Amino acid sequence: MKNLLLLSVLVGIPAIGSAQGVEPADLYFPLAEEWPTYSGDYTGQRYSRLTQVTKDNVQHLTLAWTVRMNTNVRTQGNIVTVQGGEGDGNYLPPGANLKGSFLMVNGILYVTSPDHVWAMDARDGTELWHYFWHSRGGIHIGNRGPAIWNDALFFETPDNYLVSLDIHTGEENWHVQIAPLEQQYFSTMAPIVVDDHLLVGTGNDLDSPGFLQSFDPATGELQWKFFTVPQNPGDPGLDTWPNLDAARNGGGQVWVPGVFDPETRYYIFGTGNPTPGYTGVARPGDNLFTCTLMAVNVDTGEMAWYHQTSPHDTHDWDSAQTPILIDGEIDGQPRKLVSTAARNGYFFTVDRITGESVATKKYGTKSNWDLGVREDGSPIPNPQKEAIIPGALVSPIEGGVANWQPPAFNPDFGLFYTHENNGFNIVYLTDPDPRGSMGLGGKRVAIVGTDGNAFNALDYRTGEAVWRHEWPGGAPVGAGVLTTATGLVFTGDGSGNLVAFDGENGDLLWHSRIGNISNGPQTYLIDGRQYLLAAVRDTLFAFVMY
Amino acid sequence: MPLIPRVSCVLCLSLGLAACGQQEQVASDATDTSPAAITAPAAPESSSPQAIPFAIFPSQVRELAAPEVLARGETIYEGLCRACHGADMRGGDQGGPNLLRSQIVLNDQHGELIGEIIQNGRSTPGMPEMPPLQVSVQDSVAVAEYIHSVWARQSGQGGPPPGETVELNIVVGDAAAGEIFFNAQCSSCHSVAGDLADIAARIGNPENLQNSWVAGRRWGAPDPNADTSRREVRATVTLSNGQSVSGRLNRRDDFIVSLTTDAGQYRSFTLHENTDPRVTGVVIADPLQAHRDLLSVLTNEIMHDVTAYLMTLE
Ligand code: HEC
Ligand code: HEC
Repeated sequence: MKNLLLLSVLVGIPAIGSAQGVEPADLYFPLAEEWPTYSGDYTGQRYSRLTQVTKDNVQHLTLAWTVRMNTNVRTQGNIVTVQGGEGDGNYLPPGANLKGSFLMVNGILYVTSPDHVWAMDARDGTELWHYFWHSRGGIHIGNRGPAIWNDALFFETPDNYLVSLDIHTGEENWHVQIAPLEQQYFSTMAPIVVDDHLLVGTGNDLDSPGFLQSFDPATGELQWKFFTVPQNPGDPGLDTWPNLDAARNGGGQVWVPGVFDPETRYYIFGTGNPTPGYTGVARPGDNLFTCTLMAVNVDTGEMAWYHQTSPHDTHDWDSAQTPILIDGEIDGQPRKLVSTAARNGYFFTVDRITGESVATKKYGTKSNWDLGVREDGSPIPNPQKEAIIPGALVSPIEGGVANWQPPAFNPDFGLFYTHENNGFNIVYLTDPDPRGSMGLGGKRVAIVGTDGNAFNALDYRTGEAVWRHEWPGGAPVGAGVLTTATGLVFTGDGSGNLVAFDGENGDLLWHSRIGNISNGPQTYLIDGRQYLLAAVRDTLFAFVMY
Repeated sequence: MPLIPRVSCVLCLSLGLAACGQQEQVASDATDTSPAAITAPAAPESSSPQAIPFAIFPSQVRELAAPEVLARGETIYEGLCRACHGADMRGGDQGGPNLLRSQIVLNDQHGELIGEIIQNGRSTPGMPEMPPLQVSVQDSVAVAEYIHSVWARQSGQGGPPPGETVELNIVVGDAAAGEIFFNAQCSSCHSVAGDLADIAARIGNPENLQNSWVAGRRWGAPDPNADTSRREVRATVTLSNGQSVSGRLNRRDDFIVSLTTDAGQYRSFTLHENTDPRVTGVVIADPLQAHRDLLSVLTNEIMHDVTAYLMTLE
């Protein structure tokens, strides 16, 4: 792995087979030539220090290659699919579904889709190996990407296995089960490497508890397991649930990667919604630590602080979105901060040492489910906007104002970039039983329109929009965001375009109509040239600056 | 024959979004307007619960036991478990927890875990206690199989198994207040003597009626022969040479606007400054903008009032 400091002295392209992977120490460097971890670096900023593509030349980006990922299981020819898995072989691989971050290390791209991993030449998209996991089941909604630790590559499967592969060959090192499929867990998260910890989360929509686990990246042995909802009498947060049974079935899944602060050794991440999702009558209270931004010490697995971003959620609006570490200034004082744009339409900045609230501001300009903000910076849900029998008109829709798609932060402008989806739905309670339904049941939802979807550049200190671009197409956007040291912002526009903004003022500088972007655009440098990589469902597009 | 979608993109994007069963929004999938996808017709809107894609959890596909085993299990459940766990297994007055989301029930294959609890009872710290029960191993298996069979009847996404029908009254609003609102806000475009005269009879179900009027969308499967002119989105593009071109809007993003003129001609215009002639203005007239504007101002109460009023139009 080349890093920022060594780059100038490292020349020559290691051939596949002799390439070294990613040493854990390499991950402490800011995002530049390579993309070695989910967000590119630990800050979550998706702020690339590459400077070849500028506001002046971005319109000269050229398509270098495009590849539709091949999910066929191949038994002969150039590429022989390496097969693994615990399934009986009856689960047929669907087409690729590229909704995550891909890693680029030593000129090689590592790409995932549910049950699939590919290694590719990042210069021209040539496939180098393909791994296919025979699944036992689970929801195949997406895979957020792989992780690399030395010469091992890790990914999670929909049927809840953590799989370790040899990055050179795709041969399997080991796999371990990370959650029971029987309890309807399904796993999508990109694992995060921090030194000798491999942080792993899972998802669940049927009232099982959420947890974050740390595994030994060498062996797959469990190091610690942190439950996000109370499991035993006396556990913190239990007083925000009606009883232990409710808390133990309370959800709070950890399904999107978080960020890491080396100074405090806190892994900072957001948790999912409480369950049952829509029938909150079964769980009066704030329901800690669901829909919460929190810090957990990576070495001990103990919680350091929390800030709840959606107390007593009743709309499946988890707060799992990747937060962003910001070294900023508040009232003239330098502050270590972390910010997140939550699915419920609220933006939060908190002190990342203490969790103390710095700013809470609604950025979903149509969001109508709250009654303002508490003194501690958490929003107050309006009970009128829960599912009710005659229907409640609610914005946003279940997908939220933002979702898993990563936001970005440009420290040069102090701007936090996020999409803003303003759908409306009518939410009907169909199960008025005071014990509530299970999972996401007990309601019916009708989407009745969307009004003014936009892209926002928010001041991290206040959450105020410094600029806001309303999409004329009016489509909700499912793309993540990338920003650069040259002041650019890349994302999708919901009308089939990959677009570049001037990050300072929101001027549109470039676009290419390759389809709706299904991940966050990424950038890397090989052989002295800067590439821009984006995915459209099953196809990768790599642009390059000549 | 123009190769243009019949459905305006703006409309299909705003209305064709399906709810997603999982945590994720489906924007990138459901609203793909890439050149290949745009010619596909908009998916018909549905307000019924979505099937979970690829939802193959073992508990959802497990084979049920023989009918006589299930019958035996049901008898035992009714006699020994129901008082504590509830008639529908969602928990009862005497402290038994919900079995339909119990991690033990989900993990149990054929009574090996449930049976152990029946034989030995259970006293988890912080929970009420379940006493051991005198039940044979065979009967424990039967009751476990019965529990699995009830679990399998859950409605989508964790809704309860069908039980006694509960009357859900959606028409709770004040029709008189709804009429006042209608006259002020709707009558410029609609008439209770004209287009909406029989809307309650036409749609019937008040939930469908409410969804329909809030969205401004005719209820029912899209009729390919229906007159869509009332909801047609129009675009007028003015050019630096003084000309202007109008027609039905096909697509609009930040870079291109395309329309079909009334003479049936497809036209598209680039919106940057270096074209000659240059686009100097784009005006979009969307008849449904009034409905979109309503979304931000409607309270639940007014919405229910208007629904109550429209339900009187038979
Ligand atoms: C006197 C009330 C009572 C009766 C009768 C009873 N239960 Fe229970 N059951 C409980 C309570 C209370 C618990 C929770 C105990 C605990 O967690 O420590 C429980 C727990 C369970 C659990 C474990 C749930 C979980 O996820 O932890 C199962 C399974 C179960 N009961 C099945 C049955 C079956 C089957 C029967 C009938 C054969 C039955 N119970 C009869 C009260 C009862
Ligand atoms: C500015 C004009 C305008 C206003 C104001 C307006 N609508 Fe509409 N509405 C429309 C258009 C256009 C349609 C689409 C008609 C079509 O598809 O043929 C529509 C569709 C509808 C439909 C479905 C039509 C059908 O025949 O099934 C209903 C019901 C409806 N509106 C009710 C209302 C109500 C109630 C209000 C006031 C709260 C209202 N509208 C306000 C323009 C308007």
